[in-house]
Amino acid sequence: MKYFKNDLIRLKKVLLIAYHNKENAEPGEPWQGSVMNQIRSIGPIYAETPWFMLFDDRFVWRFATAVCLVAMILSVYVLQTGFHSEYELASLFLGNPLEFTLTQYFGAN
Amino acid sequence: MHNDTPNDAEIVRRVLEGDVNSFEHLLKKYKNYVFKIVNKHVPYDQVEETAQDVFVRAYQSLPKFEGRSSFKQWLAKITVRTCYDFWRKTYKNRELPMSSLTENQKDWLEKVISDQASQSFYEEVTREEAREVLNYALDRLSSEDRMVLELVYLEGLSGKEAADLLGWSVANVKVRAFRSRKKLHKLLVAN
Repeated sequence: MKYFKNDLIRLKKVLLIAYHNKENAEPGEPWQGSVMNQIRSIGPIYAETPWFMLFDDRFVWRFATAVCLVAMILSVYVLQTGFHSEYELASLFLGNPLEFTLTQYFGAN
Repeated sequence: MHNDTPNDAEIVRRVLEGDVNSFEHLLKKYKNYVFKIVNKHVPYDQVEETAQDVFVRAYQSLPKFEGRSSFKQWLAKITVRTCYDFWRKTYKNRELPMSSLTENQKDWLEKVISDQASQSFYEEVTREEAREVLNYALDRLSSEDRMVLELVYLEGLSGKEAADLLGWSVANVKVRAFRSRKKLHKLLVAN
């Protein structure tokens, strides 16, 4: 049997009425109590700290004092000992040329 | 005027600080809303259990609630996805129904389609028979088709709204909506 568009529209209307007139359940007090009992049995949950939050202001400032102190100590040490990178490299090369060359080679790659 | 009722964000914050009982505020506020959604998608005798699952899931997922959308919208997504999971589990454990429409249901369908029914027919008989016929057809669709059909075809949501609720792409929802509508027509009209 052939059906026309209007026939199907009528069918859709009737099905829609049936769908929306479905018998509905209501939440009662015992249901609410049962949900809360299950929630309490799970216990407290806490917010997760995403990894990017580690760089958030709170965490940065918490370590700021320690970082400044370390930077100052290193600066004083370098000024006192007179660290010069060229001399250090030259002495390393003269002291153990083979190891130094390999380190440079693998380091560069 | 001072408002003593804390807002949703405040309640969520309290729960995440370990105050489990604060969750009851959210439960009281949104239980009717959740029941309204669940009632549409699962059988009457499964509504309470499914709604309970919704709130337990929401509680366990609270640390992931970022507050980009309102708590109500976020809860609606969890509710629809829990209903979808209900059908996935149900369909996994069931045998495909082999029975076809009864003679009464076939007569009813014929009357509706051919417009032979009177006004009283629509008012008195239609509701029960229509529900049976609709359930017959929905039971023969996959859980994905069923959810899309209910959201788009029967509730009138847009593809974007349904996609947002289900967590699918808009294209996927549109394709499924089209196919499931065809299947529904085939199931009903072929009978």
